[in-house]
Amino acid sequence: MAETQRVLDVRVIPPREKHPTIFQTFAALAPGESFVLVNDHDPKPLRYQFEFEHAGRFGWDYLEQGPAVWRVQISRTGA
Amino acid sequence: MARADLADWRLMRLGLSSAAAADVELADLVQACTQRGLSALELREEDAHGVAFADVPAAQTSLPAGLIAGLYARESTDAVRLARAAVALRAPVIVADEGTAARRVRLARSIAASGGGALPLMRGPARDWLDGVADQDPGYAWEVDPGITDLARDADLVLRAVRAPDYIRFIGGGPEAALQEGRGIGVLMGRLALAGYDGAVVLAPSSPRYRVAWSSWLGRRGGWGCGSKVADAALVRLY
Repeated sequence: MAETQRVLDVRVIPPREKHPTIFQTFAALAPGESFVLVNDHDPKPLRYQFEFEHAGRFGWDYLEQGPAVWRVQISRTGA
Repeated sequence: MARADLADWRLMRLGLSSAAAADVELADLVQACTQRGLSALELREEDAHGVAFADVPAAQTSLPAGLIAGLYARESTDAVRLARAAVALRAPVIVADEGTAARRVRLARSIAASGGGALPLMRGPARDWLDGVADQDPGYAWEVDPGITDLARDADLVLRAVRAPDYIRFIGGGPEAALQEGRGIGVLMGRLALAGYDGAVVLAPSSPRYRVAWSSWLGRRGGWGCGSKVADAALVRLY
């Protein structure tokens, strides 16, 4: 049976709302939970921000890497 | 994790209404969706996509499975015809008739009784209609308009309700996203993600006055999105 996966598609979100929305969504995760981020470009700057602000407490796994859509599974790995 | 594993999940899908390109044929709409990473398409009955809501379209067999998410109908009194279209295109009728929400619920039930899927479209502040769809079977579609709705408040109401929407029609986005700055689209999308919403979110224009902007956006090279990817000098300005 298919499992429901949380998806945050930020393509529809205006730029200045994107990162706050992503980090608020991440903050709402319990350890071990995750969501799939969908974007129209490789969110490398976001990863750098995660590494700076949440080092060692997040997982980052590419599920799809372009050319039109990038999907990244972002997980909370620690308290 | 391999991309193939996505097939094991039920995922929220972002899509496009044919209202965003009312003069574009189905093949071009499908091509735009698939090439730009959108995985759902709403067909509005009056647009130029060429799909009759009464007959089995010749193009049906070539459509990617599940691409058509909804059949938007402003006039839903012919339940038998629309039920037939829903079955042929394997998508629910989005009952968008004028009048009260209760009327749209009745029309949707009539289509369902004729053998086709149908979702009454709920518009305006959620407090005005949410009680009426709590036990709605088989479900309902929610039209979200950030121009008239408090997105955070309504998202909390809707997603905590007994029955979450099966389909979301999002007014704006795309080239109109810049106009919605500060209206909280992010809080809506964040709430949908945390709630595990696994239906379609279909983008539709807020007004025909933005037709040129949407057409330009659909024809852009370099991907879809909110405009953050690259500065595109060819994009039509909205203000």
